[in-house]
Amino acid sequence: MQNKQEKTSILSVMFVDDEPGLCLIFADEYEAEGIKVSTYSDPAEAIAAAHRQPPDLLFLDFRMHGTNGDLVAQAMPASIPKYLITGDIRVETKTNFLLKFEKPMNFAAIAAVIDAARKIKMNATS
Amino acid sequence: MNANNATKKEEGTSNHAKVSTSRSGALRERVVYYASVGASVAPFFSTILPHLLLSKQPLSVLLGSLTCMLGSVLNYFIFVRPGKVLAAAAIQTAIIILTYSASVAFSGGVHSHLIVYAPFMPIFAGFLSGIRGAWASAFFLVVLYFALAQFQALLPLPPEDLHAYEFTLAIQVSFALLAVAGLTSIYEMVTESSESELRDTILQLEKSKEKAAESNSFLNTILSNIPLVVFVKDYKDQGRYSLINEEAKNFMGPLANSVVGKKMSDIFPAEHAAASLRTDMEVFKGRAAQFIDCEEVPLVDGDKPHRSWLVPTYDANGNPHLMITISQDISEELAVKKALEVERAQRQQNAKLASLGEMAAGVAHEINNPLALVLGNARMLTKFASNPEKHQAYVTAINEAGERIQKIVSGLKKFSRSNEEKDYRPHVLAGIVKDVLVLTEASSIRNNVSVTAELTSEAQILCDEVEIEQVLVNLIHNAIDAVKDLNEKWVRVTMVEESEALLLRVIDSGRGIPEKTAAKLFDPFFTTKPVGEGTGLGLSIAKGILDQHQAAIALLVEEAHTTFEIRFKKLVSPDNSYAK
Repeated sequence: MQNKQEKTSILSVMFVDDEPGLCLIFADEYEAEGIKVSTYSDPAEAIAAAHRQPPDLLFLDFRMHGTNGDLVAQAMPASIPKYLITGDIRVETKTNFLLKFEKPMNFAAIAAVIDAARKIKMNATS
Repeated sequence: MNANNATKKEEGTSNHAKVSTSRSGALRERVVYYASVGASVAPFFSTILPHLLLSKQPLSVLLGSLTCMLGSVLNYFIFVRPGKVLAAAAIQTAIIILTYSASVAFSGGVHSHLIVYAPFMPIFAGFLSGIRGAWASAFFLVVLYFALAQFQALLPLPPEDLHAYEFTLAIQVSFALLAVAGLTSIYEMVTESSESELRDTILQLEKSKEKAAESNSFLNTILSNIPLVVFVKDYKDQGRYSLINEEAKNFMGPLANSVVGKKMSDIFPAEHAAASLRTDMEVFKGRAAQFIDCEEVPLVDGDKPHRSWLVPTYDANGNPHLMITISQDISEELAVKKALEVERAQRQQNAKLASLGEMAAGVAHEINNPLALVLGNARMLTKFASNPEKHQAYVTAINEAGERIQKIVSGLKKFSRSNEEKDYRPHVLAGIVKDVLVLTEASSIRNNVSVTAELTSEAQILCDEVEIEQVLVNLIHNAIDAVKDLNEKWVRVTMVEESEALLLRVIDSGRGIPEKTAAKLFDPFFTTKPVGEGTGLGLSIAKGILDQHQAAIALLVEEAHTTFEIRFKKLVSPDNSYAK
C-alpha cells in the first residue's frame, strides 16, 4: 500500500499518514514548491524507506492502525528531524518530535519549517 | 424504668413486712404482759385472797401481794418491753419469791405455802422466756405436785400445814396455767412460724432489694454511658416523660432539665408533638418495636436529625404503658454522608468531564481528519485552478470527507438520544429481524456475504422498534465487514426463547475477537476498521440503546465463531408485563 511520489529536489520530506487522501494533498502542496516529497499510508513501509534513504524532514501522523506516531518515530533513524501532524487534540509528545502541527493542517506553518530546513541545507552544501 | 418499679414494689413489700412484724411484736408483747400480770395476780386470787381472809396479818399479805404486782408492772416496762426476756423472767421470779416470802414471814413465819407456791415461779419465767421455758416449767410443776401429792408424808412439814383446799386449788391453778401455757405456746408456734416465714420473706426481699439495687445501678450505669439517646414516656401518665438518660440530656440541650414529668406537647411544637403522639399510638397498636430511619427533632438549638427505635411496653392487662425511645443522633453521620455525596458528585462530575473530554478528543480526531481532507482539497482546487483534470478528484474527495463528517455527527446525534421520548411498544422480535435483513441485503450482496436468520420464536419484547433495528443493522454490518475478506463468509441470526428472556444471537464466520479488543468493543470511537470506514460509535450506541431497553449485549467468548448475544426481557402477557 505504498503511495510514493518523488521529485528531484534539494530537500527531501517524508509524510506518513494512514489517510491516503491527506498524503495526496501533502504531496500536491509541497511538490509544487519544489520539495522532494515521499508519502506513505503504511507506517512499516515508511520505516523501511527511511532506513534505506533517510529524508531531510519527517512528518508523522499520530493515530495510525496498529501503531502510533511515537512508535513509528522511534523506529525511524534518529538523525531525521521529526514533526507530528495529528487531529488528536490530546497528544502531547515532546520526546520524539521537534514540533506538533494540528489537523486540519496549517500549510503555511509547515511550509515555513520546510523552508527553514531547505535554507539550512543550502547553506551547508554551499 | 422496670428496675425502678421493681425497687418501688420491693420497698412497698418491705414496708408491709415491717408493719406485719411490728404488729406481731406488739401482739406478743401484749401476750407476755398479760401473762406476767396474770401470773402475778393468779396467786393473789388463788391463795393470798384466802390468806387475807384467814390470816392473822392480812395487811402484810396484801402489801406483799401489791408489792409483787407493782414489781411485775415495773419489770414489764423495764425488761419485758425492751425485749430483755431472760432478765425479765429472772426478775419476775425474784419478785414473786421475795414478796411471798416477805408476806409469809410477816404473816406468821416460815410457812409451807412457800413450798407450794415456789414452783409457780419457773412457769412465769417460762412464759416470759419463750415456749420451751413455758413447757419445761409447766411439766416441772405438774411433776412436782404429783410428787408432793404422792410423797407429802415424806415432807418435813406437818401434814396439817398442807391444807387440802390450798393444795387442790394450787393443782387447779397449775393446770389452768398449764392450759394457758399450752395455748400461749400454740399461739407462739403459729406466730413464730409466721414470723419465721416473714423473716425469711423479709430476708429474701432484702436480698432481692439488694439485687434490684445492684441491677438498678447496673442499668443506670449502662443508660448513663451508652452513646444512645433513651427516653421513656409513661402512657399511664398521659404520655409524660418519666426517664431520660445522659445522652438524651445532651441531645435535648437546654430543654433537658425540664423534660421529665412533661408531655411532648409541653416541649415541642404542636405539630411535631401531635405527629410523635400518632406514631407512638401506631407503634402501641402494632405491638412491636418500630424503626424510624431519620426524623428531625425541633430543638432550641435547631433541628436535630436522628434515627430511632420505638419499643412499646404494656401493663399486665395488655394496655399501653411505656414507650421506650432509643435514638441515635445522626447529625454527624448525615454531615459526613452529605460531604461524601458532595465529593462523590464532584468525582462523578469530574469523571463526566473526563469522559466528555475523552469523547471530545475522539470526536475532534475523527472529524479533524476528514476536515483536513475537505480543507486540503479545497486548497488544492484553488491552487490547481488551471488543472481541470485534478478538479474532479479534489471535489470527490471533498464530498467523501463531508459524508464522513456527516456520518460521525449523525452517530453522535443518535448517541445523545438517551433523554428523548421513546416509542416503546410490544413488538415481535422476529418481525424486526426480518426488516433488518431487508436493510442489510444490499451490503450482504455487495460483499458476497450470506446473511440468514433462524426465527424460531414469535415472542414479543417491549421496545422502540427503530432503535432495535439500528442496533441489529449495526451488528450485522459489523459482522459483514468482519468476514467479507475471509474465505468462509456468512452471518447467521438465531433466537433462543427462555422462560423469562428472549435471546438473539448474531453469529459470523469469524473466529472470535481478541481479548484485548473485546474489552474495548463497547467504548465510544473504538474501531478496528480502516480509517474512514468506521466511526467507532456503532457498538457503544447499540449498548446505550439496549441498556435503555433493559437488555444486555455481550460477546460470547467461548463460542467457536464470533457471537454477539442480546438478552431481551420477554413480554409474557397482553398487558405488556415482563416475566417475573
